[in-house]
Amino acid sequence: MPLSNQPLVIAGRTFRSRLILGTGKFSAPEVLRDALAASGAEMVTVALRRADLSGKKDPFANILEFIDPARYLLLPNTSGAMNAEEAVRLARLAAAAGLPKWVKLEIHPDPRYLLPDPVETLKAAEALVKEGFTVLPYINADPVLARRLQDAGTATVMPLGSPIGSNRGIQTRDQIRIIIEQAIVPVVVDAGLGAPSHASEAMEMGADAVLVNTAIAVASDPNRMATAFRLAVEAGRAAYEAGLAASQETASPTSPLTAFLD
Amino acid sequence: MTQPPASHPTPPTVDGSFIVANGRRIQSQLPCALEQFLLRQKLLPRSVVVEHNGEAVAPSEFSRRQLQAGDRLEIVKVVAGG
Repeated sequence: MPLSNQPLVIAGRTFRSRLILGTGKFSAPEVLRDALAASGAEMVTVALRRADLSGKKDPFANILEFIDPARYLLLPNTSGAMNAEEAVRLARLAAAAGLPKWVKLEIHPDPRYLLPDPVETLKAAEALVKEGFTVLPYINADPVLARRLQDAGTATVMPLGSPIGSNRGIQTRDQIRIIIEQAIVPVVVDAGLGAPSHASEAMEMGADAVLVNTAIAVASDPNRMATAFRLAVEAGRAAYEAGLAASQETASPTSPLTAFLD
Repeated sequence: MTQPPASHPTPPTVDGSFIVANGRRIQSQLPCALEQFLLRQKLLPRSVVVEHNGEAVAPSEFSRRQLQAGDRLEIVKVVAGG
């Protein structure tokens, strides 16, 4: 890796990539597979849903044929859960399937904004940590909630930049800054990152990783977009590690402050 | 998970046995092994995860787990998601 950024460590596991990929909304499973390779991501989210018992054909029927579990860490999410109890059930189902006991905890009953329920999320996180899960909770950018979850033993906190699929970038920057300042686990900015510049911004702020799905999946060239995001994440992180210059209101000259022919 | 659809009246059959799978009443010859039930539904056992009466069941247990009339199943697959 040309920029030689520090590796990411979550729950004792090391990752070279700080870009986590969501697998939803791709036009075809082959497109997903190729974009995943281009992204350099080492962790991908998947969901769990009731199997179709009607016998209809579904091209995404066996998504695991397109995501090599030897190469990528599969992170099942609990999307669809309306409350803590359902989220815990989904996590247990994923574990029973033989997936590693990592879970992206997401509980967002309201379909208009898909904002995560903080009360149910904290309840579920506490239960799942006790059952030995590595819990990555998706939350609104609430610094107090973030601390409560970390104290309960979650492996990361994952505050949203803006609503899922909205591509509005980081609307919650002040809150995310506080979360990063106070965090004792890696902070992953997840949701709403619609452009590589948004991902760079998150990394420059000191986020440890980002999770991107829609912006890559719906691009007219998902491979190229995945590459763009990969580069943006690397660039933003390199800038953060290199020491960003402080901003100020007034000018500070870069050339000597004398008249030309003095 | 989505809400189950309105339940359908059970049509009369010889043994009248059904289980509730994914919120739907499904007729089946019971008791039978979970694996057998999945195959009858044209599902590949290794592509699904099952919750049987509220308990998650590992695929390695499908052939050993017995289904009785009135049992509840949630049959779940890994799908794309963010």
